[in-house]
Amino acid sequence: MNRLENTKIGFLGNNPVLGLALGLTTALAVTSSMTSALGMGILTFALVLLAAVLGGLVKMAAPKEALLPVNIVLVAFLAKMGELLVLAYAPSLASSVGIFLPLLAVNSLILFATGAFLPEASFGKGLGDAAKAGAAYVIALLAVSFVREVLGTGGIALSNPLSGAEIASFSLLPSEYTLSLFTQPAGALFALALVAALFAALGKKDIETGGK
Amino acid sequence: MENLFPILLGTILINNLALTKLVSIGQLANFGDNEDQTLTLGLSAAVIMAVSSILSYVAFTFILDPLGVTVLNLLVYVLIVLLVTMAVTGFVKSRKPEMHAAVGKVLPLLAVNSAILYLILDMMNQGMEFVPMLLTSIGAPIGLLFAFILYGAVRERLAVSDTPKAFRGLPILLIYAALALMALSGLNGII
Repeated sequence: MNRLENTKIGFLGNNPVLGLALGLTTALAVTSSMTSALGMGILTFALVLLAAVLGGLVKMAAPKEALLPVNIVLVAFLAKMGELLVLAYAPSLASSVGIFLPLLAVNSLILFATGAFLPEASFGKGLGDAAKAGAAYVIALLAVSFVREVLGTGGIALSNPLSGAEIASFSLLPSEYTLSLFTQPAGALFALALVAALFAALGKKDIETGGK
Repeated sequence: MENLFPILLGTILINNLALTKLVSIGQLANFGDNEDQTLTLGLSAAVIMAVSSILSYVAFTFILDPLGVTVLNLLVYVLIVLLVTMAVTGFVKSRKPEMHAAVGKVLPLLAVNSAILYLILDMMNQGMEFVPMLLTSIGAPIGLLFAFILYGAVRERLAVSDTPKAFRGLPILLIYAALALMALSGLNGII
């Protein structure tokens, strides 16, 4: 994680999950369908913003050595809050992602957003970075889940994560040509690797200007 | 007694958390620059996992559940893992100061290793008895150590291989992880 200190977050190159491996566990687990990826993406984005605001405030009060432990507890608190809200208002999302909902407590993207790794950054810069990283995370989740759902089931069935009402659905591949591998964990790794390579190739300029 | 061995073997190899549930891959892909560092981090993670899962079980069974405050579970588990991580960090610092200088920056981050919290949450969800819980708390950390060593070795090998530019870094490691997962799934069903 040392390299996070002077790495610029980007959408294509240095994408937080596809390039820097932040929040990878969640990304692998929830991308089997676009609906759960969208739901968890929005939840993570909201938690990232909250974490950035609260983390910025904590930074003003807590000594530098205690920043990491305090922020870890802060993220656990936010994750519990998110879990209870999802259980109450989006039970279908809660049942489809299961244990990975409370596991947001150890999501390194949310921890990164609190500013635990960048103790010198200002409040505004931390908030801006967190918003950018959160948005890039949602885009990455949607891209990976699109690849997985199309290759695994032949089409997309997107529904509202809150109510379960269908938003859009279409079919691209005939069912004889689908690969059920992509609905499995191994397929998650393949799809994530392919999308990560694609993003890295498209965002080469970002990486060069971002530096390590 | 006859069903204890399968639990141990299962948690070490067949249901290895890091290799089959894909938790903590972010850390496995980044932590440790050479064999010694990877081994130190893997051993520390294994100790943290073993101790904190037993402590969490005790905290849940004897404090949270009787008092009816299971809603605080996540906070308590994270605090326990954090405290155990600090103790292990202190131990490494006092016994191996030169190693602490090398890995001191990432060692505290083992507190947010998702494999550790996954194991704790999973055990509590299943409502395990004491003996299977104890065996799982011994087997799963050995599996995590195994995963750390495996990924460390693969990263060292990949560093000198001629990888296509776009796949350098994380993508090729994920491809490797997918192949390892498929190979491991061949063991499914032997116990």
